[in-house]
Amino acid sequence: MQDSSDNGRHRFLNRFRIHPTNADLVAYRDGELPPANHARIKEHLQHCKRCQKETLAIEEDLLLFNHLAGEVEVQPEIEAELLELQRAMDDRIMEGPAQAPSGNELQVSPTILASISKELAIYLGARAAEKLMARMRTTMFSVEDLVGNVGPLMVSLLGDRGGSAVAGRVAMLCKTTSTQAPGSVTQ
Amino acid sequence: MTDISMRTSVHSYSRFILVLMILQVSVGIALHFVWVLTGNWAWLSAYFGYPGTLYIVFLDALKLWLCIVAWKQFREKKSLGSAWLTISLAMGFALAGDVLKQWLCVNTYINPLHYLWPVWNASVAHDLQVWGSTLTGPVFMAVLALGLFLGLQHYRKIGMLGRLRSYDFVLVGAAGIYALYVLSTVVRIALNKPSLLGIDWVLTWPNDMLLAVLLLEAILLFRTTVDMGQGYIALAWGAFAVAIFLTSVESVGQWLTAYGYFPYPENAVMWYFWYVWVAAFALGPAYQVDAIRIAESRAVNGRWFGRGSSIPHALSGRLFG
Repeated sequence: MQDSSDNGRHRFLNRFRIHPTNADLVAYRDGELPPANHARIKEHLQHCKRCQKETLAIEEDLLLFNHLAGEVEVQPEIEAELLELQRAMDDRIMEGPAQAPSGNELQVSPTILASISKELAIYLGARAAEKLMARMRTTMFSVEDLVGNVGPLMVSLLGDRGGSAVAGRVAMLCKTTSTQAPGSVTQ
Repeated sequence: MTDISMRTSVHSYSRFILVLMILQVSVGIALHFVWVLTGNWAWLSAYFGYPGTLYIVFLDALKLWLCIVAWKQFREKKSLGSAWLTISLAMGFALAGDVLKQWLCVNTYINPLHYLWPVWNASVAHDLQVWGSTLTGPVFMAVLALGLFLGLQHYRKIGMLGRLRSYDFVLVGAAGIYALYVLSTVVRIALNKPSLLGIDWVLTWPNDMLLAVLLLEAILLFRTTVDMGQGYIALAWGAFAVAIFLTSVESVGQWLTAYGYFPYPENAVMWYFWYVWVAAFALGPAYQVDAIRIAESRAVNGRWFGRGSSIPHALSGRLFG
């Protein structure tokens, strides 16, 4: 049962160009994923440039950490760059995590999801929008990921301006709804 | 449920086409009753010759323009852009064909050839009609079938393609059997009475085969539309499905009339059917362009999108504004 659910999710990830989270990629890199998930992310990485770049960025971060831990020796000219990168990372850590924590549910409140579903229903139809939201709920994404994945889908159906406008409207709905109902966004 | 107030907040090409179609058919039916009651054919003849022709050519031009507007929105390769480009091409052939078939080959006062020719040249007019029928028949249908195939392919890729029900296969099977029957008739005549074969007849042979292919696509589009609900994008493809169903019904009606199974006055309904399916084809791109305009309008109203709509408001803005 779990396996068929994973397969469904994987098909959905590929179909809508939805990407694994950074936590997934780190776990993949460290070989901590179950074999089935490992194989799926490996397949995804073969054709997804965005995730390839993300993996490289993770590798850079890990290289920096290893260097700071004294595990790797680097040339002096690179050391200055690494220190600068470390400072930037410190800043980022102070700002809080960039990604929502990995979980089994979409990290967005039901109110926001209902607003987005209503918005998408204008273009796709009510059933298609509900189906899309139901699929999204089973994936592990933040508001940004949701907007980032609704955008390409709508661009592919409506064209650049129309699709971007829908993505912008969805982003605005997320912002407005979360402002109106503080704490409704779980991330 | 989709919020209807959201959907109707922008001037709509689809509404304009629906209103135009209802007006056209209503006037036709009214004049039909005048003819039945008074026996005066002149009004109905003028209706088919003038407003009828202008309606068809105008809607052909409008749907071509709307298709081009829809196509120009796409830059991404993995999108409906290629489908809309191919459909635009098909609509271009439909316009060219209807200009020849509905306008230039009929001796009316709105036909420029009426003034250019000292005497009406029936032979050339017949040739124009043959080439017009070819463009609006097999050429249009083949290119449209390709465009709809590309659209369906995209829906399959994004996981929104509807599924055929078991009884759908009965309809597709019936259309296929009918196409094979027509093919066998054509082969029989070609072998036994080749003298009967005229170019005008030969050029329309692929029509039924192509209609069977289009019907299969239409059923898939219809299922996709029903499965998706009634959003604008779904309605755009649903309109093509309805247009193809109506074309098939019209084709069957013609066949029944030719073999005497559908005599007058019952078959008079087919005279006005034409206007409905021409409008249905125009509704496809109209819903698509409406969807884009609504998306842009809602983004502007929500103060997210700083610019105006990329879709010209000239036509519907003037008519409904």
